[in-house]
Amino acid sequence: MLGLATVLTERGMEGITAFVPPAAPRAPKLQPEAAAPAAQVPWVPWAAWDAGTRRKIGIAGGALLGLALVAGLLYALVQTLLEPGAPRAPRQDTVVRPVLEEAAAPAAAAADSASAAPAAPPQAATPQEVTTPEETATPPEAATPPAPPSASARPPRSMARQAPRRPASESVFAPQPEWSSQVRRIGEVDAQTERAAMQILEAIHAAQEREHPPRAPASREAGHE
Amino acid sequence: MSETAEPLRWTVVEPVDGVTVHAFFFVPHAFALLDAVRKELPVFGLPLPEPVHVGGTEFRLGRLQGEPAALYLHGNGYLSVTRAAPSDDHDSGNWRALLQPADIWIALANAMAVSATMRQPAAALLRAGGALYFLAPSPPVMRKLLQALTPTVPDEPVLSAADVAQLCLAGAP
Repeated sequence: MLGLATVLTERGMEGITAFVPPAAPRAPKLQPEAAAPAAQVPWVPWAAWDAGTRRKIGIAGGALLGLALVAGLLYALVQTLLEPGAPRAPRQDTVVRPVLEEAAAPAAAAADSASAAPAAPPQAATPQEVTTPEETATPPEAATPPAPPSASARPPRSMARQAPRRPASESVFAPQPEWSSQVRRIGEVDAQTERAAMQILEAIHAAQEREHPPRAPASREAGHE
Repeated sequence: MSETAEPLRWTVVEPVDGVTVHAFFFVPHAFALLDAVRKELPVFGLPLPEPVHVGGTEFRLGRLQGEPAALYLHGNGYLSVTRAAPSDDHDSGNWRALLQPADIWIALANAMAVSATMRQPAAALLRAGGALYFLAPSPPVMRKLLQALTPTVPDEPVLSAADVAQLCLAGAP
């Protein structure tokens, strides 16, 4: 209880005259007479504004500046992406196309070999694959088999495709000067080709024996006689 | 409690401008060897009021900022002690001439600020040389004080108890 005492005793106070604390006055409403001079003033100096107004104006200005910067960046980005004839597109082609071609090349070679293998039986390939020892002495350029028609018909694509690579249809029995035997690389062919080559060699050997029978038995027979 | 409590033994009780003045006169040298509470409040017996450390407490009421010289807890309220302007020692013969109306208003304003801040009743005491006054205001005096310390516009400057007293004296009939 708020109030002032009117009687004091040895143990306390009595007769309290109460009072109510005064309320804080409300802010006066903006009067039209007070607003009119402010509207007539064309420009109010910055220092005359209160701190809250200056802070709000600063925040609004900063936000507008930020929006302008973001809009500029977006515009520059869109212009860069949509610019016709930009050097970026050809660069993508040169990078991506060889990779795609490189990935497709083994598949095409496998398809060529797969299609050529069943069409040519082992016996039909013997004239090209099997060579006699006389043919081994021929120069390599003359003995080199011609390039497959599929490879010659294709236009040169890229440097990756031009790498030295043995064609799929090239025979492993092609005469090479450094080879001392026709079957030096026989382990690199499949078993069916190997068997066919061995049969052909045996047939050639048998034919040579028929044409030139061995003279040793005849001499022996003559010796006996 | 109030039924069994005996009233204090005041020397003089007289109304002055709507305020009932209770005065206790004493010889200061007679209380020189007593404790501080007895020297400050010689009219009180046992149990003595308990001194309250004011510290940096602001006693505000409206636009008034009270500055009591001392504060004591006494029963169900506080004793707000205000120092009177320096003068000769008061006694039963000269107190009417020496007691200043401004000191009365200042003591009342300080007591109101203490009551409003401590949320308890307060008693306005005025300490002068050779005299202790207890001031009991009438309702018209309270209204006049409230009028003087009520702010009328926002952010009005703070008034001291002396300023409020001057306002009350200026508006006195």
